[in-house]
Amino acid sequence: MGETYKLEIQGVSKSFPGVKALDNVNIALRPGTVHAVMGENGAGKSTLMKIINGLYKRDEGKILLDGKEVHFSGPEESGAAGIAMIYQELNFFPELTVAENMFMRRQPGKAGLVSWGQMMEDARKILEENGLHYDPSEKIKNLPIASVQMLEIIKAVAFKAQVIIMDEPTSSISNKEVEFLFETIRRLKEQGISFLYISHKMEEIFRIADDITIIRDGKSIISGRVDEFTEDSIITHMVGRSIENIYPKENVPIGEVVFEAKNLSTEGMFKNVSLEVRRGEIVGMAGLVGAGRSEVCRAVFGLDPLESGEITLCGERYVPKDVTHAIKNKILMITEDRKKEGIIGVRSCRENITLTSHHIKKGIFMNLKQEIKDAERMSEMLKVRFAGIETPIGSLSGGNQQKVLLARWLMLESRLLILDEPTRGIDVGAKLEIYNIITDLVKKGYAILMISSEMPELLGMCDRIYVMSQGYVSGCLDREEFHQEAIMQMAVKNVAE
Amino acid sequence: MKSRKVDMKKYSLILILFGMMIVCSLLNSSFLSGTNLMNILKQVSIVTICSFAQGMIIITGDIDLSIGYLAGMAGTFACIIFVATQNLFLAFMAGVLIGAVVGAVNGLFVAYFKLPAFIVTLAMQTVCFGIICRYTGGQNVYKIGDFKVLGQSYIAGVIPITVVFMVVMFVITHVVLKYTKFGRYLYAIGGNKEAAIAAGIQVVKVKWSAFIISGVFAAIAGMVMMGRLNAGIPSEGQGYETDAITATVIGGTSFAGGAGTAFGTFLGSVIIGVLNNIMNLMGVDSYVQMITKGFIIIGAVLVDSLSKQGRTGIKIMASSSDAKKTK
Amino acid sequence: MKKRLLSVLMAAVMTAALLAGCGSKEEQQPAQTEAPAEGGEAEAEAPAPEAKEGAYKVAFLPTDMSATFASWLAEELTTAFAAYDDMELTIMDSKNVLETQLSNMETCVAQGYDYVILLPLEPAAEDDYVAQYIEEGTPFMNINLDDLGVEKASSVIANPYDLGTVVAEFAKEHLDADANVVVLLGPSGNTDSIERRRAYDDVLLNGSNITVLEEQIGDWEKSKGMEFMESWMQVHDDIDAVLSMNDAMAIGAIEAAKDAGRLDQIQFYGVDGLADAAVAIEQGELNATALQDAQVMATEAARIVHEVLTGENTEGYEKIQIPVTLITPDNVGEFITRYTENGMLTE
Repeated sequence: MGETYKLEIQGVSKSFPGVKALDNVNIALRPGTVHAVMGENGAGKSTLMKIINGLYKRDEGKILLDGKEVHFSGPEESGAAGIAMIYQELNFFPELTVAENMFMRRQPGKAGLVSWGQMMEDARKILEENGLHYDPSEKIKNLPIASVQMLEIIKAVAFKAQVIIMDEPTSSISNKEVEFLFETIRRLKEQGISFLYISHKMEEIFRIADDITIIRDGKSIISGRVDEFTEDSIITHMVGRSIENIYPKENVPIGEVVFEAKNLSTEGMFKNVSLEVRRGEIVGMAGLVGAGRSEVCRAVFGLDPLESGEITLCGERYVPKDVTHAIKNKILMITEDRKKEGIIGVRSCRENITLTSHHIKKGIFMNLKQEIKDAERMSEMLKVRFAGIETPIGSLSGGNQQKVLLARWLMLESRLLILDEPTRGIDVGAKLEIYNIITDLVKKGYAILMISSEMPELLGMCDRIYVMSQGYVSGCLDREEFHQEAIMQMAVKNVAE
Repeated sequence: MKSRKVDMKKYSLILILFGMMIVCSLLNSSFLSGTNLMNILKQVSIVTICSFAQGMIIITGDIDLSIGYLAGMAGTFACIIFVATQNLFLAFMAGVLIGAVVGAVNGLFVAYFKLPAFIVTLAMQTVCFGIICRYTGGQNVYKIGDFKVLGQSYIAGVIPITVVFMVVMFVITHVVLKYTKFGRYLYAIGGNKEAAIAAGIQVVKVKWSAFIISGVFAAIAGMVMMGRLNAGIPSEGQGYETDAITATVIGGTSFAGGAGTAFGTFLGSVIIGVLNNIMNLMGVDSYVQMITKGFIIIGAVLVDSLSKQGRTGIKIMASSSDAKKTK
Repeated sequence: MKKRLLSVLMAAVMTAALLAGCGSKEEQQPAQTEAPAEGGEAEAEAPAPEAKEGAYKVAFLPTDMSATFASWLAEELTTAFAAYDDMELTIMDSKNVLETQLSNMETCVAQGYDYVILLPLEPAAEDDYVAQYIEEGTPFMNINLDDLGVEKASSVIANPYDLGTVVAEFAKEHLDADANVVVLLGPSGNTDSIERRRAYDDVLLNGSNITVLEEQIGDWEKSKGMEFMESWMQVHDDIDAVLSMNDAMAIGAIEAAKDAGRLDQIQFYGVDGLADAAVAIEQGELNATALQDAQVMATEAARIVHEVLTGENTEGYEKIQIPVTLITPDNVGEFITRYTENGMLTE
């Protein structure tokens, strides 16, 4: 017990009406280490973060910073005490410059006037010290997400943060950027800065974390050094049951070609993309962020323009027009950004599930009885966890939202089902369930095209993988040829010529 | 003993209304009389019809500021047509048509050309008013004869026609919002337009239709209003759009779109009506009325919003045997 | 609020709408004197075309062309000026916005109009400008309301206090000494309403046994008059008269009383005397109203303007008061005829 901790959470509990969100949570963060906090979505991690920075008041328990008990009334106070938060959704002002964002509310200058020269100079200095080569006068909206994230971290450190709390920092950045992030974290660790690192990604945890605490249903289940855990033991603790094989791949007889695309091109997006998907097949699309994978699929679905190319669907010619047309031709797609293009947050799960199935039926009126039946049947089938079909979808965890969206599309007949990042931001337990659903679907004869940035997921689930780079298809691998490095090489291949 | 929390969200408005009515009946003995209650319904009916129109548009996340002026224009034109033809059906249909056309123009710019609804419908206010004043030369239309049955007659001798119109429009709005696919799309578009597009909903078509319906509703409100006033007065519709916004928002329609019901809108409108009525019954000074009304509206919205956040709530203590029964 | 909404974006859209507007009835167009018939209000807002070579350019600045009295006055002025070969009249609407009226005044002076007739929105706010423009050489006339505080401005006024007085005197003859009345007022701060109400006090209410049961601001609107009356009849069984500061609200109250079956127990008094009131009096619903006669005002105004411009009036201004006219069932017939003739009433 003699060890001194940078940040200590002792017996913290928090209740909301009807739910006990946190129940006696204990975490001890050693100085200069990365402490991973793992748990399924809804396990209470974000509530914990909000309690640490003072957005919520704890009902019970203590928070000690450098051994002294602290009570923060909000992010400003916790920030001043040296605790910085890097949120999953980044807070920045897209129309302002890098320098302005870095110095937001801390602008140098006197009497309410900003000293621009000094601010630019300071920003440049901080960026250079951290090996970032951005122009401080660049507008934030022109930077890739990963760079903005890096900026947040550096900003936190530059303003004397001792503890940095990161919520799913790699959920929206590419592998290369992950490397850079980890390098930065390691460097800062050496300077004595401590990290609370929230993530679902197993491989990351083993690469970067020193300690692990696992939270389940609002309780801290177990804490320990990273080498005391294995991937399986972590999953077991997180879901409260052991998982034999995370990817439930089954051999499904592969049928005829259902979807065939030849030389799809749209200027500035993708060029000469040819694909085929067979019945019973899960076809993966790998590549770096921005390689054009989503764009191809969205064009097929009628959401984005398709300039040229030919598509054959079950032997018939198909020309994308709009989403309604795609749905009529039984091409379905779950889009990448759940919040932006998937859920209708304020409406109930029932309405979200049946939205498109009403759409394809004739007539003005809906059959409400049938609707309730359908919604209940689908959510039961997909094991959606909620208080009932009338719960607003926005209040569910990411995994359950995704299941509801799957339910929406599984209500319809499908020749081709496109899944764009189906497990992004979803905890392990829910991921597994979604893999099971996907497996069931191909067994029923679905043809599935799946985009994912998580290599293990593609390797584990797919029968074939197309790799895209810079808008071109740079390769295609069959299951027996699957190899992480081979895919990586194709993904970074320079095919512009 | 177990405590059970009652879902306040659904019932807060009804409770507010009942609370107000109890207080009002204590304040003034005339309040609860049948004719007075009927008067309240009569007085709110026109603005309520406008509120149903406004509500539908706000549910899609837009706003229609042209409603009041359109009501004035369509109502007055219908009067003119009636005076010329003495055919009530023709006049009514002409009014509806005018509403649909103006709604379609709003929809063209808002849904198709994607201009901000605020500006487009604000501009349509002056277009509507200009057109009708141009036609009448700024004079009102009198001697509208039987046109007044649209606003002054009674069904079965007791139920004012204005109230009947309101109820009919309520039923239509309720059915559209709750039982039709179109209604569902309105919520979907207001809740998340991008998601609605990605779910295959034809957003332009749906929005456009919503504006046409709003226009038709406004026109009907205008004709009922002119019937009630027994004259065609273009300027009388002014301000109904803002009253309609107040009623819908009190009724729980979210300005952000995606939420709201016909019943809530109706309650919102009646709450304002009760408020106006009791202050008039009590002879409250005009200026004091303005102040009181403002604060009570804020209060009603506050109570509603707090109940939705779950900060207030009635805990009903039930014995364990009751609790078993409910289970 | 409403008015402000109205004013926004007015200029461009309004013009387009008016041009696109429907084929209006010919006699209702306040067209310019002898201007080509196809000209309309839209053109009337622009500087006058050279219809009369070398004629004096006179501008009329009404409050709000969508208001019944203002548009009637504009029409009568158009008719009155048509009788003169050497004057032509242009109308510039202010749409009930003071700001617009002030800039219209500026425009008239800048464009070299020979005479400006002002139907002021806010006399107290405008008199300094008028005094200055007169100083700079453009003669002004104030029409309709109380006089401006400008010595050298001509004025043709029908005093709102007098309007109230004649109706109040008539009411005094017809009401019991201990009658109960309700009062409907115009918008808060409105001069007409305040003056008419003052006349009622002086003539009828002060020192009498008449009780004012209720008094509310009805904003000149018919629907408000109706709504207040509906509520008042719930509380009071003994309303003997409605004293309304304009006709629209009085007629609104009449509609409410009709609906409640109490029309013949209550007397109704308004002010303004336009077509709607004439009809209501003819039908025996409204008891009396008072008229500020736009026709007389227009004729007098045209005469003064002509005398000033031709130099016949050496002083450069003249101030007259138009007598107000009481309209009762006894003389309503003549007004019905008149309003039917000038197109304000159909059939």
